[in-house]
Amino acid sequence: MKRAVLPLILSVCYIAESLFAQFFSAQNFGGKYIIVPHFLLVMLILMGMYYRKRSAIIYAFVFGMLFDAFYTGVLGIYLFFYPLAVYLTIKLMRILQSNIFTGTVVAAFNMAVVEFLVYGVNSLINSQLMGFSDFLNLRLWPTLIFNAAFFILAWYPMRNFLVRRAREEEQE
Amino acid sequence: MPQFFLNKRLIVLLISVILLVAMIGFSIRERDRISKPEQFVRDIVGFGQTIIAKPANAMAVFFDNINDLKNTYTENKKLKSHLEQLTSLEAQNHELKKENEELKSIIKEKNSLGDSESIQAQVIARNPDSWYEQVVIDKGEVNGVEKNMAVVTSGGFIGKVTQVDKFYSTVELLSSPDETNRISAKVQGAKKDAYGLIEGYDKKTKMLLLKQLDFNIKIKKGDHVVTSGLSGMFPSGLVIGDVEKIVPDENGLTQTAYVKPEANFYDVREVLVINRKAQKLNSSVLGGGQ
Repeated sequence: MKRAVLPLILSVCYIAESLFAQFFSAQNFGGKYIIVPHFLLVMLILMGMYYRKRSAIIYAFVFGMLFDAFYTGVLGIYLFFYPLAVYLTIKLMRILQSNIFTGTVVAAFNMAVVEFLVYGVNSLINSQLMGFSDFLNLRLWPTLIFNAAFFILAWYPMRNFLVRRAREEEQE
Repeated sequence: MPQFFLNKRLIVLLISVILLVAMIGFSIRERDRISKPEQFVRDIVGFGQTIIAKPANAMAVFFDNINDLKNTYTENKKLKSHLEQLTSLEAQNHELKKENEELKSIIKEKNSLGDSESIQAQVIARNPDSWYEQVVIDKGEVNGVEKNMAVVTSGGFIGKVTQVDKFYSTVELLSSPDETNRISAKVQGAKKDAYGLIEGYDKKTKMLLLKQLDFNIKIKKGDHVVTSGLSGMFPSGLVIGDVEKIVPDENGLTQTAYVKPEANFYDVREVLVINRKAQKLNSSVLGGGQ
């Protein structure tokens, strides 16, 4: 039963992203800002910080694949960039002290990396995508601020939960 | 050199980059249908998505209803004034329909470009990484949905089906920044219809661009824009929007109309998938244009 809790949390985040996009879409934020929910990525980054490293990357891989197959239809983008973000998190947290401040900075940095890479790949595929300055001003900043706020909210309960789960799994 | 290949991390990175490019190439190429494993994954995810999305939709409808209640009085007044015109319009409609049928029987034409049947569907998901505006609906191959069918809301035309699975399908909205997202449309003029292509969406003004209209045809602000039915997949006469302004093109031969879409692309919940009854073009003929 306890084993199912973590995949369940990730699934709920996965579905919540699309519900967020459906009910709080662009027109709700002053009509021009685009806020992209990255609940799933926030959870994966938290797992990279406090959970077993290997399974965090595997989870990132699986949920990245589901994201690609169901939402975007272009296979391979999130499938690689989610694990990359988790990998970077693991590397960064080796040299940083883990508290909420460094955590938020690392999470924001990794989300920015993913956003940049996805923008890069998508603009290679399609030249009609928004310009770089629009991407920075209208999309990247609002997205980072929103998701950093979500990270801070989720940090405390998720850290406790993940640390406890990791310890329990070691004992088993 | 040998040391270079011994570096495990570098090899993993290289292989991932190659796989990444290969997979993207595989999935953006022109495909009639998506692969079986993909369909399988999408159907399973769709099932989970439906369980949560359906109650969420119901909640949203409930709150909408409460909002509607507030405006009931003013709306009622407006509707009553419309109602008086309705009876005469109905009579006229009846006459025209009869006449149309008689004329059709004379030329022995069964299905006109406008004839269609519709499949009702509910939106269960929207692409969260809003690069491409896509929604997933809860009807698929088993319900008769096919690729490239038109999708409308109560407001008007919103997009076309781009991927079909067994039980779900993906709809790309007109507001998506996709070069291949073209719809053959016409402006209904007083004397002559002007034909053109809907190509692209202006995010700043929230308007569709109707390009390649004949320069000699006068188009007024407020003229209605509907699908032309010439594209081979959509029926004619699906409402797209109204002309907001007209700009002559650089070459002086054509003009571009900015069209204010009738449907709201950001509030899509209940949709109809429109299947045209007239003969469809084979999708292999349509080829790269779609």
